[in-house]
Amino acid sequence: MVEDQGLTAGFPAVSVRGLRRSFGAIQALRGVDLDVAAGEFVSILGPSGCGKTTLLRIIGGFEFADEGRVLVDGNDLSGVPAHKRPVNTVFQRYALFPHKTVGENIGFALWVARHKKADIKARVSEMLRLVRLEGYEDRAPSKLSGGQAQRVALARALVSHPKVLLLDEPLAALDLKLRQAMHFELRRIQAAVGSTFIYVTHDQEEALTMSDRIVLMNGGQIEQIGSPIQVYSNPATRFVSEFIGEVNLLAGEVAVVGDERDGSVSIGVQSGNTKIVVPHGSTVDVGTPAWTSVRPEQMSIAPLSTLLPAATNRLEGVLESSVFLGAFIRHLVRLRDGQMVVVQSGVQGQFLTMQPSTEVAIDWSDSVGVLLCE
Amino acid sequence: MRVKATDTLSSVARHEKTEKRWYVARLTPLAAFLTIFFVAPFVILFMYSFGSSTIFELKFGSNFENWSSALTDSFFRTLLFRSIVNGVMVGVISVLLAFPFAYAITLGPLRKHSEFFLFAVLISLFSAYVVRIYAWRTLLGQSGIINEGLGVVGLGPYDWLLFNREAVVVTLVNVLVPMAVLPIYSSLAQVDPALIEAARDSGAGTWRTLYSVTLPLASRGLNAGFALCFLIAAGDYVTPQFVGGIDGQMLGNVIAEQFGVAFNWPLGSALAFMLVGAMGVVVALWLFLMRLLKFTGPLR
Repeated sequence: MVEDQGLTAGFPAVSVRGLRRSFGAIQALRGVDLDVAAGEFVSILGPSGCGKTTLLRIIGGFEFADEGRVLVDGNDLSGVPAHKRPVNTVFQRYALFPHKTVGENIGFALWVARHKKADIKARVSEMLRLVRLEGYEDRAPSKLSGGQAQRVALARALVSHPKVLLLDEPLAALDLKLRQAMHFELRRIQAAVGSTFIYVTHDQEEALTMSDRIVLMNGGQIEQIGSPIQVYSNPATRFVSEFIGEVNLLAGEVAVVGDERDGSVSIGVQSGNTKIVVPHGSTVDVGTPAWTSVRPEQMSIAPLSTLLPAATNRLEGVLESSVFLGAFIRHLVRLRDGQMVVVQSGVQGQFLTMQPSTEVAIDWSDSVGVLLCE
Repeated sequence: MRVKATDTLSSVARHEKTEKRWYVARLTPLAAFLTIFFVAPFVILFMYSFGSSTIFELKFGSNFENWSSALTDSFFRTLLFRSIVNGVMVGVISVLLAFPFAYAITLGPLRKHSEFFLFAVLISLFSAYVVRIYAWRTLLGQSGIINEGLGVVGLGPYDWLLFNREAVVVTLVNVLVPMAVLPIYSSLAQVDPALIEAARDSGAGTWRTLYSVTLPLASRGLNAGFALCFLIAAGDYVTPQFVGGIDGQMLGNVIAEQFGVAFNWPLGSALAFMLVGAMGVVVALWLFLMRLLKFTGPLR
């Protein structure tokens, strides 16, 4: 399930074609295709071991593919060693040279390329200004905080204006507050330098806040490519719907298929004793086993004993617990058939103080929810 | 050091004091050992160099005869020079051999088998030093394996393989190379492979990476490896005795003679301290050269 958009005319900045890579019996990449447009911020998101780091390392030239090609601006990079590629990498644990000052670290690529001393100095201070570390030239890397070291690593990778910047979980070692601040910093810096950013992460929040597009990987394959809104509200597979955000997956079987209207078909799914109506992009054969995915914030909850409005989709169950989380309340409900469902309600609404084991009804609109057939 | 929030300032200070006391206490045993068995003999020996000896007794004193003959006699000077040059050659060759090996088993293609290869090197330390020197005699001698092998193809036997300076250097390198491998291995094992990748990522090829990242980060190991090999080699007198012949004798042989058959401890200790001083100069020069090449470890 690969859906591709956002490509401008000409060559994509990065093109990955049919990449395969095995480590012994483990298949790290099982045929990966990806196009990234120039200036795009693309996140590769997936659980550890999904092949995302291997993909990045192959693009960077630190790992070699068994099959397939990597092209940058239409040029095949097969056989081009890492130090001759027009891409740079920000490494996971910064990898700053401990025997060089901050300034020497940032200017390293320019020194290697035999630039003039004055030229290097000017560029280094320009980079330091970009990452907001003016005056840190002569510091030792061991004297930097994690966030500062991360900025220096970023400056070092950007100093020779790479066409493509690869970032391998660069914020993983930082604490939450710093990480959130760096999300905005990274976007600001990307806008300033205009390079294409390919960002590997296992953190869905990071991917959602920063990316133009998200590439979801699982088991060495791409599950879905799309904008943050697309992958969140229209997951292509069960894996995607579960990996991004919290979701309720209701097992069932397609029972009724409605007529197509505005490119959307109303599908009736028999799930246990209840029938659920969910919109879908195409018709599906009756009898197909399918999962219905509904986000907790798309559902509403009320005691069964109150006067309930009419609703197409309604599940009944018993409240197990409600947890107040500041901006919202999270309710855990056990359905009559034993499945657990999570419902999220705002703190302004009714029924804020329901006791556990209250009989409740969970309603949601027939225009939300995603049907996932597998 | 963990400090509870309820600790008052004075109790923190007290805590620090106790810490310091413990620190001193932990140093004491080794410091005492070294004082008694190293510093004291060293000082006594140094005092002897200003003394004199007869056939029966040694006397302390304040005569500079031993020093003036040690420093001016061209025989001693030749031997000192030879000791230092041999030592430097052994040190440099050992480091040059040890570094690629240590690199291969830490950051290179053999890193998955580093323990095996390290053990293979260390196993040579299991056999006695003298045994290994004898082994070289059987290798290089007139009827040794090399000459026998050359004889098969109608060459030799060559007598210049043994009993000269080159034989001393070759043998010492063989004996001492594990001393260079160990410290270089341990310094390279601490190098994050991502640093090598970062250098390559910044456009540095193999040699640039080696020169500007790997060697500086391995500098402590290189220093220790060179110093160990050099100091042991330059002070050695056993190897020259067995494989050196007349041309291969070093200052160590003469010093050993003074403390042995010649029973001239004052001259022996003057020569010994002259050698120590020269060694110190060489090590200082090495460190200076490393600094000049910017092969210095992590910044503090």
